[in-house]
Amino acid sequence: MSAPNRSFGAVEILTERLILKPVSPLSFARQTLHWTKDRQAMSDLQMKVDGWTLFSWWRKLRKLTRKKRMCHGIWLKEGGGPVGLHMALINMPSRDVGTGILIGEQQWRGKGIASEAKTAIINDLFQRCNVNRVTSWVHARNFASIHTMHRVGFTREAVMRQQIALLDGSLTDHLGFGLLRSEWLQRQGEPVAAGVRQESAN
Amino acid sequence: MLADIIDQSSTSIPLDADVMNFPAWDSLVHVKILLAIEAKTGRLLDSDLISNIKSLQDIAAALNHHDG
Repeated sequence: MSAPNRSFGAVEILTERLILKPVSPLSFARQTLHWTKDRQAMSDLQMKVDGWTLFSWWRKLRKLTRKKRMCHGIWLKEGGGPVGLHMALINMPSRDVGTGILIGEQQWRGKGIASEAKTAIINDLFQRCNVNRVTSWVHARNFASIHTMHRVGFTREAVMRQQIALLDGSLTDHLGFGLLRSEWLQRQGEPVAAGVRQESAN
Repeated sequence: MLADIIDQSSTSIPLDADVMNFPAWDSLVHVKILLAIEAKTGRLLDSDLISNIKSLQDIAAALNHHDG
């Protein structure tokens, strides 16, 4: 078996429409503080929904970029500020990576950005970082993220019943999705969603 | 239902359409499909159904499940 966790630092990745760059917490916090006012988006990510300040958002981003974590900002090649954020945390020794994604700019939701970014980062995780599986948790009413899971090739593996409180106070199930390295390898011969191609900056 | 949501003729949608092979089936369309199924059946879908709807056949099965 090859050595685990050869290199778990974020590198720049290019896709058809996107530039995925390692996050520099302070400048990213300054550019994206307004995302924290989107209570629905923060709730979907299981982050607190109120009371964010530049300091607390910076601290959160700094935590997301620490050792064994990988945090990419999502930019459009056509220019402009960041539109989203992808987070990953590697668990050793199983080489399982937990992931989450936020499309912070509302006008870019529903345009395949999440699928394109997640596919490229997952390709990087399997190719460069030698991980064995990727896990992602989504609540059952987050239909758009469930679509992303399908597009990227995840399998639903777990249901935590009524684990998540929605903003209106109702409870919903938490769904665990997983993608194994063997499944990812098998899919490499198939057409990839959103025409994603990946170019590492290294 | 899918034809209405994506504003295409139903004849232009292959019978084996799913989230992977049918590019117009994006996340926004997916949200609309699931909400339309809920509106048609008059109840919230359970998480098993939500996480298993990936194709036209799955949509039909979800609607039949309600009718049955």
